[in-house]
Amino acid sequence: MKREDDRLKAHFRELRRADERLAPSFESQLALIRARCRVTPLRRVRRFAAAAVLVVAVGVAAALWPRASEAPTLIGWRSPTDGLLAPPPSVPAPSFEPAPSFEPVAAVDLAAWHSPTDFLLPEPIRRME
Amino acid sequence: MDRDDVRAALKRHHRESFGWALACCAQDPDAAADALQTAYLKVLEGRARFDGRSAFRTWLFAVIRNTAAEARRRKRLRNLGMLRYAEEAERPAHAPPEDERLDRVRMQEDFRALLARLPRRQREALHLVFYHDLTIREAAVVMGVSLGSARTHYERGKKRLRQWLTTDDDETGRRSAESALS
Repeated sequence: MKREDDRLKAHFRELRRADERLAPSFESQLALIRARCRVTPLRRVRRFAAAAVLVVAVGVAAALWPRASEAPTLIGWRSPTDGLLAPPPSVPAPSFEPAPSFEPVAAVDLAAWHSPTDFLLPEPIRRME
Repeated sequence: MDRDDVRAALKRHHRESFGWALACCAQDPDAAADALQTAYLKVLEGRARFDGRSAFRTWLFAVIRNTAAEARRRKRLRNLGMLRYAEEAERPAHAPPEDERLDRVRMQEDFRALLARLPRRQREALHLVFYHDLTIREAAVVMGVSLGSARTHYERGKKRLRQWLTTDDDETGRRSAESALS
C-alpha cells in the first residue's frame, strides 16, 4: 500500500513540476486584475447611460401607475341600465292592502295545562287501592 | 490580516494556487488563470475574507475552487451543452514519443487522462492530498464536505486510480513484449 501511495505521489509530483512551468507570474496576474478593474471612459459612459435608462423607466412607470384616489369605488358606482328599473311616470304606482293584524295569542301556562286523557292515568292505581 | 499581508500570502502560494486552479478547470491554463485572477480579486477587494478558522492556503484553495465552479456554471449556461463536444474536438492527438522528454510528457498526459476519468470529487481529493500535500481533513475543508465524505472520495479515487495504473502497466508491458518479438 505504501509503495502504491509513493507511486501516486511520484506521478503527482511530475504533474506539479509541469504545471509550475506553465504558471504565469504573480505580478502579471495582478497587472491583469488592475486592468480588469480599471474604469475606462467608455465604461463610465455605459454605466451612466444604464443609470439614466433606469431612472427614466422608473419615472414612466410611476406616472402610468393608477393612483389610489383615482381608483373607482363601489359605493358611488351606478349601473348604466339603472334608468330601466324606475317605473314610467304615466303608470300609477300599485297600492298595497295593509296586512291583516292578528290578535296576540294568549300565552299557555304549562304548569296549569292538563292533557285531555289525563283522567285515564290514575284509574288503575285507584283500582289497586 | 491587512491588505499587504494578504498580498504577500497570495504571492507565497501563487504557484501552488495555479496548480490547483488548473485541476479545478480541467487543465485549461487560460480558464485557470482567469479563475485565479477572479479569486485574487475577491480576496483583495475583501469579498472573500479570511477568518483564520483554517490555514490560509486551505481557505484560499476553497475560494479558488468556488470561483472555478462559478465560472464553470456560467460557461455551461453559455454553451448550452456544447462544451463537452468542443473540449473533445480540441483535445490534441497523441504524438508518438521519440525521446525521454517526450516519454515523460506522454506519461504525464496519460496520467492526466486517467485522473480526468475519475469523478470530480475523487479527483479533487487525490489532487489535494498527493499534489498539495494537504491532510484529508484540510482537503475536506477545501472541498466543503465532511471529513468522512472526503475520506471516502479519497479512498475510492485511490483504489480506482491504482487499478487503472496497473492495467495501464500490463498494457505497456504487453506492447513492449510484442515489439521485442516482432
